[in-house]
Amino acid sequence: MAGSDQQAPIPFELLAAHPFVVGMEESQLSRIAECALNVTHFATDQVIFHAGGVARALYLLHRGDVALEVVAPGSGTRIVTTLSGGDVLGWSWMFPPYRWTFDARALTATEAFVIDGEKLRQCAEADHELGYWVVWRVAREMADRLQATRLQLLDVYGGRP
Amino acid sequence: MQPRQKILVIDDEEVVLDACLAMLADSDCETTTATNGEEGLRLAAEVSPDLVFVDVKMPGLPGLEVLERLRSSDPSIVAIVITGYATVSLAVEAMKRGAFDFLPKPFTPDEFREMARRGLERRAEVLEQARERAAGEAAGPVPGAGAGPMAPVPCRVLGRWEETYDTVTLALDPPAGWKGFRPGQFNMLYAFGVGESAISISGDPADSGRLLHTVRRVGKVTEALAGLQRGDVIGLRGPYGTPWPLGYSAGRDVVVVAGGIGLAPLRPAIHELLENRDRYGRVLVLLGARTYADLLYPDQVQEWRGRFDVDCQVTLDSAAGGWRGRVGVVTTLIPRAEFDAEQGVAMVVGPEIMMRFTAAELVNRGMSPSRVFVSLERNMKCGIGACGHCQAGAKFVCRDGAVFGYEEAEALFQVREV
Repeated sequence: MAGSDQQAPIPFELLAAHPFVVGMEESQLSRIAECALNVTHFATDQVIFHAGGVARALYLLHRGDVALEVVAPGSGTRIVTTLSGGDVLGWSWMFPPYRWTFDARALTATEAFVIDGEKLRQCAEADHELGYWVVWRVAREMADRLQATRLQLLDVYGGRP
Repeated sequence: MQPRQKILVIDDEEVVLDACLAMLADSDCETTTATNGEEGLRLAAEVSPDLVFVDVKMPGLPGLEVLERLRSSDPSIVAIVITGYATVSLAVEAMKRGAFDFLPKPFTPDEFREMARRGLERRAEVLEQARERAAGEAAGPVPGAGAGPMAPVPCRVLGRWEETYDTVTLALDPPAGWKGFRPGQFNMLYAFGVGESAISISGDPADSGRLLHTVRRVGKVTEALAGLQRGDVIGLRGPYGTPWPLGYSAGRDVVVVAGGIGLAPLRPAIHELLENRDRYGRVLVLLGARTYADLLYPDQVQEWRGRFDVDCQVTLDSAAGGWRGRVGVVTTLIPRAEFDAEQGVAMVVGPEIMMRFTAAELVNRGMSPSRVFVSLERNMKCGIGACGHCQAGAKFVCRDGAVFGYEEAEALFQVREV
Protein backbone atom coordinates (compact mmCIF):
# COMPACT_ATOMS: atom_id res chain seq x y z
CA MET A 1 0.00 0.00 0.00
CA ALA A 2 1.37 3.40 -0.96
CA GLY A 3 2.53 5.77 1.71
CA SER A 4 5.43 7.76 2.95
CA ASP A 5 8.05 7.12 5.57
CA GLN A 6 6.15 9.34 7.95
CA GLN A 7 3.71 6.93 9.57
CA ALA A 8 2.33 6.90 13.09
CA PRO A 9 -0.47 5.19 15.00
CA ILE A 10 -3.88 6.85 14.64
CA PRO A 11 -4.91 8.66 17.85
CA PHE A 12 -8.31 7.20 18.77
CA GLU A 13 -9.90 10.62 19.42
CA LEU A 14 -8.89 11.87 15.96
CA LEU A 15 -10.27 8.75 14.31
CA ALA A 16 -13.51 9.09 16.30
CA ALA A 17 -13.92 12.69 15.06
CA HIS A 18 -13.70 11.78 11.35
CA PRO A 19 -17.05 12.35 9.58
CA PHE A 20 -16.98 8.81 8.21
CA VAL A 21 -17.34 7.32 11.71
CA VAL A 22 -19.05 10.12 13.64
CA GLY A 23 -22.25 8.74 15.18
CA MET A 24 -21.09 5.11 15.22
CA GLU A 25 -21.57 3.16 18.41
CA GLU A 26 -18.49 2.89 20.61
CA SER A 27 -18.20 -0.88 20.06
CA GLN A 28 -18.28 -0.50 16.26
CA LEU A 29 -15.79 2.31 16.39
CA SER A 30 -13.49 0.11 18.45
CA ARG A 31 -13.71 -2.60 15.78
CA ILE A 32 -12.77 -0.07 13.11
CA ALA A 33 -9.91 1.17 15.29
CA GLU A 34 -8.67 -2.43 15.43
CA CYS A 35 -8.45 -2.35 11.62
CA ALA A 36 -6.66 1.01 11.63
CA LEU A 37 -3.08 0.83 10.40
CA ASN A 38 -1.52 4.26 10.80
CA VAL A 39 -1.58 7.96 10.01
CA THR A 40 0.23 8.43 6.71
CA HIS A 41 1.57 11.66 5.29
CA PHE A 42 1.76 12.30 1.57
CA ALA A 43 3.82 15.09 0.11
CA THR A 44 2.48 17.39 -2.60
CA ASP A 45 2.24 15.50 -5.90
CA GLN A 46 2.93 12.15 -4.25
CA VAL A 47 0.90 9.33 -5.75
CA ILE A 48 -1.27 7.58 -3.16
CA PHE A 49 -2.31 4.74 -5.45
CA HIS A 50 -2.40 3.90 -9.14
CA ALA A 51 -5.35 2.65 -11.19
CA GLY A 52 -5.11 -1.12 -11.54
CA GLY A 53 -3.16 -1.56 -8.32
CA VAL A 54 -4.44 -3.85 -5.58
CA ALA A 55 -6.86 -1.95 -3.35
CA ARG A 56 -5.99 -2.83 0.20
CA ALA A 57 -6.87 0.27 2.19
CA LEU A 58 -9.56 2.75 3.08
CA TYR A 59 -8.13 6.26 3.45
CA LEU A 60 -9.94 8.64 5.77
CA LEU A 61 -8.51 12.04 4.79
CA HIS A 62 -7.68 14.14 7.83
CA ARG A 63 -6.22 17.16 6.07
CA GLY A 64 -4.94 18.11 2.63
CA ASP A 65 -6.33 17.78 -0.88
CA VAL A 66 -6.27 14.76 -3.14
CA ALA A 67 -7.07 14.48 -6.85
CA LEU A 68 -8.67 11.40 -8.38
CA GLU A 69 -7.25 11.20 -11.87
CA VAL A 70 -7.49 9.18 -14.99
CA VAL A 71 -4.98 9.04 -17.81
CA ALA A 72 -6.74 9.66 -21.11
CA PRO A 73 -4.74 8.72 -24.19
CA GLY A 74 -4.01 11.82 -26.22
CA SER A 75 -5.09 14.28 -23.55
CA GLY A 76 -2.85 13.41 -20.64
CA THR A 77 -3.98 13.14 -17.06
CA ARG A 78 -7.44 14.48 -16.24
CA ILE A 79 -8.72 15.20 -12.76
CA VAL A 80 -12.13 13.63 -12.19
CA THR A 81 -12.73 15.12 -8.77
CA THR A 82 -10.88 16.34 -5.72
CA LEU A 83 -11.28 15.31 -2.11
CA SER A 84 -10.20 17.06 1.06
CA GLY A 85 -9.97 16.66 4.82
CA GLY A 86 -13.06 14.85 6.14
CA ASP A 87 -13.61 12.94 2.90
CA VAL A 88 -13.24 9.22 2.26
CA LEU A 89 -10.76 8.05 -0.34
CA GLY A 90 -11.18 4.64 -1.94
CA TRP A 91 -13.84 1.97 -1.76
CA SER A 92 -12.38 -0.51 -4.26
CA TRP A 93 -11.15 -2.65 -1.31
CA MET A 94 -14.83 -3.53 -0.72
CA PHE A 95 -15.64 -5.13 -4.04
CA PRO A 96 -13.92 -7.74 -6.21
CA PRO A 97 -11.57 -7.63 -8.01
CA TYR A 98 -10.17 -5.23 -5.34
CA ARG A 99 -8.35 -3.02 -7.85
CA TRP A 100 -8.21 0.78 -7.87
CA THR A 101 -10.09 2.33 -10.78
CA PHE A 102 -8.43 5.77 -10.66
CA ASP A 103 -5.09 7.25 -9.71
CA ALA A 104 -5.03 9.23 -6.47
CA ARG A 105 -2.45 12.00 -6.04
CA ALA A 106 -1.92 14.47 -3.20
CA LEU A 107 -2.43 18.04 -4.47
CA THR A 108 -1.20 19.47 -1.18
CA ALA A 109 0.54 17.96 1.85
CA THR A 110 -1.98 15.36 2.96
CA GLU A 111 -2.56 13.35 6.10
CA ALA A 112 -4.74 10.24 5.99
CA PHE A 113 -5.88 7.63 8.48
CA VAL A 114 -5.21 4.34 6.75
CA ILE A 115 -7.58 1.47 7.54
CA ASP A 116 -6.76 -2.09 6.50
CA GLY A 117 -9.49 -2.77 3.92
CA GLU A 118 -9.14 -6.56 3.90
CA LYS A 119 -9.37 -6.75 7.69
CA LEU A 120 -12.34 -4.37 7.76
CA ARG A 121 -14.07 -6.47 5.12
CA GLN A 122 -13.54 -9.62 7.21
CA CYS A 123 -14.84 -7.84 10.33
CA ALA A 124 -17.89 -6.66 8.40
CA GLU A 125 -18.59 -10.19 7.16
CA ALA A 126 -18.29 -11.59 10.67
CA ASP A 127 -20.36 -8.82 12.28
CA HIS A 128 -23.26 -7.90 10.02
CA GLU A 129 -24.32 -4.98 12.16
CA LEU A 130 -20.89 -3.44 11.74
CA GLY A 131 -21.04 -4.45 8.07
CA TYR A 132 -24.35 -2.65 7.65
CA TRP A 133 -22.95 0.59 9.07
CA VAL A 134 -19.77 0.42 7.01
CA VAL A 135 -21.70 -0.28 3.81
CA TRP A 136 -24.29 2.40 4.70
CA ARG A 137 -21.56 5.01 5.14
CA VAL A 138 -19.75 4.03 1.96
CA ALA A 139 -23.11 4.05 0.13
CA ARG A 140 -23.79 7.58 1.43
CA GLU A 141 -20.41 8.71 0.06
CA MET A 142 -21.21 7.04 -3.24
CA ALA A 143 -24.63 8.73 -3.40
CA ASP A 144 -23.10 12.16 -2.70
CA ARG A 145 -20.43 11.65 -5.34
CA LEU A 146 -22.93 10.32 -7.85
CA GLN A 147 -25.09 13.41 -7.36
CA ALA A 148 -22.08 15.72 -7.68
CA THR A 149 -20.99 13.88 -10.84
CA ARG A 150 -24.47 14.21 -12.33
CA LEU A 151 -24.40 17.96 -11.69
CA GLN A 152 -20.95 18.13 -13.28
CA LEU A 153 -22.27 16.27 -16.32
CA LEU A 154 -25.26 18.63 -16.51
CA ASP A 155 -22.84 21.52 -16.96
CA VAL A 156 -24.98 23.54 -14.55
CA TYR A 157 -23.20 26.86 -15.03
CA GLY A 158 -24.05 26.97 -18.71
CA GLY A 159 -21.73 25.53 -21.28
CA ARG A 160 -19.92 26.93 -24.24
CA PRO A 161 -21.78 26.73 -27.53
CA MET B 1 -13.91 82.47 -8.30
CA GLN B 2 -13.49 78.76 -9.02
CA PRO B 3 -10.71 77.05 -7.03
CA ARG B 4 -7.83 75.85 -9.18
CA GLN B 5 -8.03 72.20 -10.12
CA LYS B 6 -5.19 70.05 -8.82
CA ILE B 7 -3.23 67.45 -10.72
CA LEU B 8 -0.81 64.98 -9.17
CA VAL B 9 1.67 63.09 -11.36
CA ILE B 10 3.36 60.00 -9.89
CA ASP B 11 6.27 58.62 -11.93
CA ASP B 12 9.71 57.37 -10.98
CA GLU B 13 11.35 59.06 -14.01
CA GLU B 14 12.18 62.64 -13.10
CA VAL B 15 12.47 63.54 -16.77
CA VAL B 16 8.83 62.55 -17.24
CA LEU B 17 7.76 64.58 -14.21
CA ASP B 18 9.65 67.64 -15.50
CA ALA B 19 8.06 67.22 -18.93
CA CYS B 20 4.57 66.95 -17.39
CA LEU B 21 5.15 70.09 -15.31
CA ALA B 22 6.29 71.91 -18.45
CA MET B 23 3.29 70.70 -20.47
CA LEU B 24 0.87 71.95 -17.81
CA ALA B 25 2.75 75.19 -17.10
CA ASP B 26 0.30 77.28 -19.12
CA SER B 27 -2.82 75.68 -17.63
CA ASP B 28 -4.81 76.99 -14.68
CA CYS B 29 -4.05 73.84 -12.75
CA GLU B 30 -1.91 73.38 -9.69
CA THR B 31 0.44 70.49 -10.46
CA THR B 32 2.31 68.39 -7.88
CA THR B 33 4.69 65.53 -8.59
CA ALA B 34 5.90 62.46 -6.73
CA THR B 35 8.69 60.05 -7.65
CA ASN B 36 7.20 56.95 -6.04
CA GLY B 37 3.91 55.43 -4.92
CA GLU B 38 4.35 56.03 -1.19
CA GLU B 39 5.13 59.70 -1.72
CA GLY B 40 2.24 59.95 -4.18
CA LEU B 41 -0.25 58.57 -1.67
CA ARG B 42 1.05 60.94 1.02
CA LEU B 43 0.73 63.92 -1.32
CA ALA B 44 -2.71 62.79 -2.45
CA ALA B 45 -3.87 62.79 1.18
CA GLU B 46 -2.38 66.25 1.66
CA VAL B 47 -3.53 68.08 -1.48
CA SER B 48 -6.70 66.13 -2.45
CA PRO B 49 -6.01 66.21 -6.19
CA ASP B 50 -8.80 66.20 -8.78
CA LEU B 51 -6.79 64.17 -11.24
CA VAL B 52 -3.90 61.76 -10.75
CA PHE B 53 -1.56 60.36 -13.39
CA VAL B 54 0.08 57.16 -12.12
CA ASP B 55 2.96 55.30 -13.71
CA VAL B 56 2.33 51.56 -13.60
CA LYS B 57 5.92 50.40 -13.41
CA MET B 58 7.72 51.97 -10.45
CA PRO B 59 10.12 50.66 -7.85
CA GLY B 60 8.41 50.07 -4.51
CA LEU B 61 4.64 50.28 -4.45
CA PRO B 62 3.33 49.23 -7.89
CA GLY B 63 1.22 51.73 -9.83
CA LEU B 64 -1.90 49.55 -9.86
CA GLU B 65 -1.70 49.24 -6.09
CA VAL B 66 -1.38 53.03 -5.82
CA LEU B 67 -4.39 53.37 -8.10
CA GLU B 68 -6.45 51.04 -5.96
CA ARG B 69 -5.52 52.82 -2.73
CA LEU B 70 -6.27 56.22 -4.23
CA ARG B 71 -9.67 55.03 -5.39
CA SER B 72 -10.51 53.36 -2.10
CA SER B 73 -9.68 56.52 -0.13
CA ASP B 74 -11.66 58.71 -2.55
CA PRO B 75 -13.83 56.90 -5.14
CA SER B 76 -14.52 60.20 -6.91
CA ILE B 77 -10.85 60.76 -7.72
CA VAL B 78 -10.09 60.49 -11.43
CA ALA B 79 -6.97 58.46 -12.18
CA ILE B 80 -5.16 57.92 -15.46
CA VAL B 81 -2.55 55.23 -15.80
CA ILE B 82 0.66 55.93 -17.74
CA THR B 83 3.16 53.32 -18.73
CA GLY B 84 5.88 52.40 -21.14
CA TYR B 85 4.51 48.87 -21.23
CA ALA B 86 1.33 49.45 -23.17
CA THR B 87 -0.56 46.21 -23.32
CA VAL B 88 -4.24 45.56 -23.65
CA SER B 89 -4.25 43.36 -20.56
CA LEU B 90 -2.64 46.08 -18.49
CA ALA B 91 -5.14 48.64 -19.74
CA VAL B 92 -7.97 46.30 -18.87
CA GLU B 93 -6.52 45.67 -15.43
CA ALA B 94 -6.21 49.41 -14.83
CA MET B 95 -9.82 50.00 -15.93
CA LYS B 96 -11.01 47.22 -13.66
CA ARG B 97 -9.30 48.90 -10.74
CA GLY B 98 -11.06 52.15 -11.50
CA ALA B 99 -8.72 54.01 -13.86
CA PHE B 100 -10.52 56.51 -16.05
CA ASP B 101 -8.14 56.03 -18.93
CA PHE B 102 -4.76 54.81 -20.06
CA LEU B 103 -1.88 56.83 -21.56
CA PRO B 104 0.94 54.87 -23.18
CA LYS B 105 4.47 56.31 -23.26
CA PRO B 106 5.85 58.00 -25.23
CA PHE B 107 3.13 60.65 -25.48
CA THR B 108 3.12 64.05 -27.08
CA PRO B 109 2.34 67.26 -25.17
CA ASP B 110 -0.99 67.47 -27.02
CA GLU B 111 -1.91 63.92 -26.06
CA PHE B 112 -1.04 64.60 -22.44
CA ARG B 113 -2.92 67.89 -22.29
CA GLU B 114 -5.97 66.33 -23.99
CA MET B 115 -5.94 63.49 -21.49
CA ALA B 116 -5.65 65.97 -18.61
CA ARG B 117 -8.54 68.01 -20.03
CA ARG B 118 -10.79 64.97 -20.31
CA GLY B 119 -9.79 63.75 -16.84
CA LEU B 120 -10.61 67.10 -15.26
CA GLU B 121 -13.88 67.27 -17.17
CA ARG B 122 -14.74 63.85 -15.81
CA ARG B 123 -13.88 64.97 -12.29
CA ALA B 124 -16.22 67.97 -12.65
CA GLU B 125 -19.00 65.62 -13.80
CA VAL B 126 -18.43 63.28 -10.87
CA LEU B 127 -18.52 66.14 -8.36
CA GLU B 128 -21.63 67.56 -9.99
CA GLN B 129 -23.37 64.19 -9.77
CA ALA B 130 -22.40 63.93 -6.11
CA ARG B 131 -23.89 67.38 -5.48
CA GLU B 132 -27.09 66.39 -7.29
CA ARG B 133 -27.32 63.23 -5.28
CA ALA B 134 -26.88 65.12 -2.02
CA ALA B 135 -29.46 67.73 -3.04
CA GLY B 136 -31.97 65.19 -4.30
CA GLU B 137 -31.49 62.73 -1.43
CA ALA B 138 -35.00 63.38 -0.11
CA ALA B 139 -37.18 63.40 -3.18
CA GLY B 140 -35.13 63.49 -6.37
CA PRO B 141 -36.52 61.61 -9.36
CA VAL B 142 -35.20 58.21 -10.27
CA PRO B 143 -33.81 57.97 -13.82
CA GLY B 144 -36.66 57.89 -16.26
CA ALA B 145 -39.30 58.83 -13.70
CA GLY B 146 -39.96 62.24 -15.20
CA ALA B 147 -40.98 60.73 -18.53
CA GLY B 148 -42.83 57.75 -17.10
CA PRO B 149 -41.61 54.53 -15.56
CA MET B 150 -40.78 52.87 -18.88
CA ALA B 151 -38.62 55.69 -20.26
CA PRO B 152 -34.91 54.97 -20.16
CA VAL B 153 -32.41 57.77 -19.62
CA PRO B 154 -29.33 58.02 -21.83
CA CYS B 155 -26.19 56.76 -20.26
CA ARG B 156 -22.63 56.83 -21.61
CA VAL B 157 -20.29 53.84 -21.68
CA LEU B 158 -17.09 54.84 -19.86
CA GLY B 159 -15.27 51.58 -20.44
CA ARG B 160 -15.69 47.98 -21.41
CA TRP B 161 -13.63 44.85 -20.93
CA GLU B 162 -13.95 41.15 -21.66
CA GLU B 163 -14.29 38.99 -18.57
CA THR B 164 -14.57 35.57 -20.22
CA TYR B 165 -15.13 34.33 -23.76
CA ASP B 166 -18.85 35.22 -23.58
CA THR B 167 -19.00 37.83 -20.84
CA VAL B 168 -18.25 41.54 -20.85
CA THR B 169 -18.30 44.18 -18.13
CA LEU B 170 -19.57 47.64 -19.02
CA ALA B 171 -18.62 50.66 -16.91
CA LEU B 172 -21.40 53.24 -17.28
CA ASP B 173 -21.45 56.89 -16.38
CA PRO B 174 -24.21 57.15 -13.74
CA PRO B 175 -27.03 59.24 -15.22
CA ALA B 176 -28.14 62.55 -13.73
CA GLY B 177 -30.33 61.90 -10.73
CA TRP B 178 -28.78 58.53 -10.01
CA LYS B 179 -28.90 57.95 -6.27
CA GLY B 180 -26.90 54.78 -6.00
CA PHE B 181 -28.08 51.20 -5.63
CA ARG B 182 -28.27 48.47 -3.06
CA PRO B 183 -26.45 45.16 -3.59
CA GLY B 184 -28.70 42.73 -5.42
CA GLN B 185 -30.55 45.33 -7.49
CA PHE B 186 -30.61 45.39 -11.27
CA ASN B 187 -31.05 47.92 -14.06
CA MET B 188 -32.93 47.62 -17.34
CA LEU B 189 -30.34 48.35 -20.03
CA TYR B 190 -31.64 49.38 -23.43
CA ALA B 191 -29.56 48.82 -26.56
CA PHE B 192 -31.14 51.38 -28.90
CA GLY B 193 -32.85 49.79 -31.85
CA VAL B 194 -32.44 46.28 -30.45
CA GLY B 195 -34.17 45.96 -27.11
CA GLU B 196 -33.97 45.94 -23.35
CA SER B 197 -32.60 43.47 -20.84
CA ALA B 198 -32.49 43.21 -17.03
CA ILE B 199 -28.85 43.22 -15.95
CA SER B 200 -27.63 43.01 -12.37
CA ILE B 201 -25.38 45.76 -11.11
CA SER B 202 -22.03 44.11 -10.45
CA GLY B 203 -19.81 46.85 -9.05
CA ASP B 204 -19.01 48.36 -5.70
CA PRO B 205 -21.98 50.31 -4.25
CA ALA B 206 -19.46 52.76 -2.75
CA ASP B 207 -18.07 53.62 -6.20
CA SER B 208 -20.19 56.61 -7.15
CA GLY B 209 -18.19 57.38 -10.27
CA ARG B 210 -19.26 54.44 -12.41
CA LEU B 211 -21.86 51.75 -12.66
CA LEU B 212 -20.66 48.27 -13.55
CA HIS B 213 -22.80 45.67 -15.32
CA THR B 214 -21.50 42.27 -16.34
CA VAL B 215 -23.32 41.04 -19.42
CA ARG B 216 -23.32 37.51 -20.78
CA ARG B 217 -23.99 37.14 -24.49
CA VAL B 218 -27.05 34.93 -24.67
CA GLY B 219 -29.32 36.67 -27.17
CA LYS B 220 -29.74 39.64 -29.49
CA VAL B 221 -30.00 42.29 -26.78
CA THR B 222 -27.12 41.06 -24.64
CA GLU B 223 -25.06 40.58 -27.82
CA ALA B 224 -25.69 44.25 -28.67
CA LEU B 225 -24.93 45.38 -25.11
CA ALA B 226 -21.72 43.37 -25.03
CA GLY B 227 -20.66 44.92 -28.32
CA LEU B 228 -20.86 48.50 -27.02
CA GLN B 229 -17.71 50.54 -26.98
CA ARG B 230 -16.40 53.39 -24.88
CA GLY B 231 -18.37 56.55 -25.67
CA ASP B 232 -21.49 54.72 -26.90
CA VAL B 233 -24.81 55.66 -25.36
CA ILE B 234 -27.43 53.25 -24.04
CA GLY B 235 -30.73 53.66 -22.21
CA LEU B 236 -31.00 52.86 -18.51
CA ARG B 237 -33.90 52.42 -16.11
CA GLY B 238 -33.52 51.48 -12.51
CA PRO B 239 -32.37 50.45 -10.04
CA TYR B 240 -35.05 47.85 -9.49
CA GLY B 241 -35.56 44.83 -7.30
CA THR B 242 -35.13 43.77 -3.72
CA PRO B 243 -31.64 43.91 -2.24
CA TRP B 244 -29.66 41.19 -0.48
CA PRO B 245 -30.54 41.05 3.24
CA LEU B 246 -27.28 42.59 4.45
CA GLY B 247 -28.86 44.39 7.40
CA TYR B 248 -30.51 41.17 8.56
CA SER B 249 -27.16 39.39 8.16
CA ALA B 250 -25.33 41.67 10.62
CA GLY B 251 -23.77 39.66 13.43
CA ARG B 252 -24.31 36.38 11.59
CA ASP B 253 -22.10 34.12 9.51
CA VAL B 254 -22.70 34.82 5.83
CA VAL B 255 -22.24 32.19 3.14
CA VAL B 256 -22.13 33.55 -0.41
CA VAL B 257 -22.44 30.84 -3.07
CA ALA B 258 -22.05 31.73 -6.75
CA GLY B 259 -22.07 29.56 -9.83
CA GLY B 260 -20.83 30.87 -13.18
CA ILE B 261 -22.11 34.36 -13.95
CA GLY B 262 -23.99 34.27 -10.63
CA LEU B 263 -20.99 36.00 -9.10
CA ALA B 264 -21.96 39.25 -10.89
CA PRO B 265 -25.10 40.02 -8.84
CA LEU B 266 -23.34 38.87 -5.68
CA ARG B 267 -20.19 40.96 -6.08
CA PRO B 268 -21.76 44.17 -4.70
CA ALA B 269 -22.82 42.22 -1.60
CA ILE B 270 -19.29 40.83 -1.23
CA HIS B 271 -17.92 44.40 -1.46
CA GLU B 272 -20.33 45.49 1.24
CA LEU B 273 -19.48 42.52 3.47
CA LEU B 274 -15.74 43.07 3.15
CA GLU B 275 -15.88 46.84 3.51
CA ASN B 276 -17.85 46.45 6.75
CA ARG B 277 -16.15 43.26 7.82
CA ASP B 278 -16.56 43.77 11.57
CA ARG B 279 -20.36 43.88 11.26
CA TYR B 280 -20.58 40.21 10.30
CA GLY B 281 -19.53 36.84 11.67
CA ARG B 282 -17.61 34.50 9.40
CA VAL B 283 -17.79 35.38 5.72
CA LEU B 284 -17.51 32.54 3.21
CA VAL B 285 -17.41 32.99 -0.55
CA LEU B 286 -17.88 29.67 -2.35
CA LEU B 287 -17.46 29.85 -6.10
CA GLY B 288 -18.04 27.35 -8.86
CA ALA B 289 -17.24 27.67 -12.54
CA ARG B 290 -16.86 25.40 -15.52
CA THR B 291 -13.15 26.04 -16.06
CA TYR B 292 -10.68 28.66 -14.86
CA ALA B 293 -11.25 30.56 -18.10
CA ASP B 294 -14.95 30.78 -17.20
CA LEU B 295 -14.33 32.15 -13.71
CA LEU B 296 -15.46 35.78 -13.41
CA TYR B 297 -13.18 38.43 -11.87
CA PRO B 298 -10.23 36.05 -11.33
CA ASP B 299 -7.91 38.77 -9.98
CA GLN B 300 -10.44 39.87 -7.42
CA VAL B 301 -11.13 36.27 -6.47
CA GLN B 302 -7.39 35.81 -5.96
CA GLU B 303 -7.38 38.86 -3.70
CA TRP B 304 -10.29 37.49 -1.63
CA ARG B 305 -8.51 34.15 -1.33
CA GLY B 306 -5.48 35.96 0.06
CA ARG B 307 -7.45 37.65 2.84
CA PHE B 308 -7.46 36.18 6.33
CA ASP B 309 -10.91 37.49 7.21
CA VAL B 310 -12.80 35.69 4.45
CA ASP B 311 -12.89 32.02 3.49
CA CYS B 312 -12.98 32.08 -0.30
CA GLN B 313 -13.01 28.68 -2.01
CA VAL B 314 -13.17 27.94 -5.71
CA THR B 315 -14.05 24.69 -7.39
CA LEU B 316 -14.13 24.00 -11.11
CA ASP B 317 -15.90 21.37 -13.16
CA SER B 318 -12.76 20.80 -15.15
CA ALA B 319 -9.11 21.25 -14.20
CA ALA B 320 -8.11 22.12 -17.76
CA GLY B 321 -5.33 24.70 -18.03
CA GLY B 322 -3.21 23.56 -15.11
CA TRP B 323 -5.70 24.30 -12.32
CA ARG B 324 -4.41 22.79 -9.08
CA GLY B 325 -7.36 23.56 -6.85
CA ARG B 326 -10.60 21.74 -6.20
CA VAL B 327 -12.55 19.97 -8.93
CA GLY B 328 -16.27 19.31 -8.57
CA VAL B 329 -19.50 21.31 -8.45
CA VAL B 330 -19.91 24.13 -5.96
CA THR B 331 -22.34 22.15 -3.79
CA THR B 332 -19.45 19.88 -2.76
CA LEU B 333 -17.85 22.79 -0.87
CA ILE B 334 -20.78 23.13 1.53
CA PRO B 335 -20.56 19.99 3.70
CA ARG B 336 -17.05 20.82 4.96
CA ALA B 337 -17.29 24.62 5.05
CA GLU B 338 -17.05 26.12 8.53
CA PHE B 339 -20.03 28.30 9.42
CA ASP B 340 -22.82 28.46 11.94
CA ALA B 341 -25.64 26.84 9.98
CA GLU B 342 -28.23 27.46 12.68
CA GLN B 343 -27.82 31.24 12.74
CA GLY B 344 -26.07 31.93 9.43
CA VAL B 345 -27.44 33.46 6.26
CA ALA B 346 -26.77 32.29 2.71
CA MET B 347 -26.96 34.26 -0.54
CA VAL B 348 -26.97 32.08 -3.61
CA VAL B 349 -26.94 32.89 -7.32
CA GLY B 350 -26.43 30.66 -10.31
CA PRO B 351 -28.48 28.65 -12.73
CA GLU B 352 -31.67 27.45 -11.04
CA ILE B 353 -30.63 23.84 -10.92
CA MET B 354 -27.46 24.85 -9.06
CA MET B 355 -29.42 27.04 -6.64
CA ARG B 356 -31.83 24.20 -5.88
CA PHE B 357 -29.05 21.76 -5.05
CA THR B 358 -27.10 24.39 -3.12
CA ALA B 359 -30.14 25.28 -1.02
CA ALA B 360 -30.71 21.58 -0.36
CA GLU B 361 -27.10 21.20 0.89
CA LEU B 362 -27.41 24.27 3.11
CA VAL B 363 -30.67 23.00 4.58
CA ASN B 364 -29.01 19.63 5.02
CA ARG B 365 -26.32 21.38 7.08
CA GLY B 366 -29.05 22.74 9.35
CA MET B 367 -29.72 26.15 7.84
CA SER B 368 -33.35 27.20 7.85
CA PRO B 369 -34.76 27.73 4.32
CA SER B 370 -35.96 31.13 5.54
CA ARG B 371 -32.31 32.23 5.83
CA VAL B 372 -31.29 31.02 2.39
CA PHE B 373 -31.74 33.76 -0.21
CA VAL B 374 -31.57 33.29 -3.96
CA SER B 375 -31.90 35.60 -6.95
CA LEU B 376 -34.25 34.70 -9.78
CA GLU B 377 -33.96 36.63 -13.00
CA ARG B 378 -36.30 34.73 -15.27
CA ASN B 379 -38.21 36.41 -18.05
CA MET B 380 -38.03 39.95 -16.71
CA LYS B 381 -39.21 42.38 -19.39
CA CYS B 382 -40.47 45.62 -17.83
CA GLY B 383 -38.76 45.60 -14.42
CA ILE B 384 -41.78 47.15 -12.68
CA GLY B 385 -44.37 44.37 -12.51
CA ALA B 386 -46.48 45.86 -15.31
CA CYS B 387 -46.11 43.46 -18.23
CA GLY B 388 -46.69 40.15 -16.45
CA HIS B 389 -43.95 38.23 -18.28
CA CYS B 390 -42.29 37.19 -15.04
CA GLN B 391 -45.47 36.58 -13.06
CA ALA B 392 -45.69 33.34 -11.11
CA GLY B 393 -48.87 33.05 -9.09
CA ALA B 394 -49.20 36.21 -7.04
CA LYS B 395 -45.55 37.13 -7.50
CA PHE B 396 -43.75 39.20 -10.09
CA VAL B 397 -40.09 38.22 -10.15
CA CYS B 398 -39.00 41.75 -11.12
CA ARG B 399 -41.10 43.61 -8.58
CA ASP B 400 -41.17 41.17 -5.66
CA GLY B 401 -37.63 39.90 -6.28
CA ALA B 402 -35.28 39.29 -7.86
CA VAL B 403 -33.95 38.34 -4.38
CA PHE B 404 -36.29 35.89 -2.68
CA GLY B 405 -36.12 33.80 0.45
CA TYR B 406 -35.77 30.16 -0.53
CA GLU B 407 -39.14 29.29 1.02
CA GLU B 408 -40.80 31.52 -1.59
CA ALA B 409 -38.38 30.70 -4.37
CA GLU B 410 -38.85 26.96 -3.97
CA ALA B 411 -42.47 27.36 -5.06
CA LEU B 412 -41.36 29.47 -8.05
CA PHE B 413 -38.77 26.86 -9.03
CA GLN B 414 -41.64 24.46 -9.57
CA VAL B 415 -43.27 26.83 -12.10
CA ARG B 416 -41.61 25.68 -15.29
CA GLU B 417 -42.85 28.39 -17.64
CA VAL B 418 -41.72 31.41 -15.60
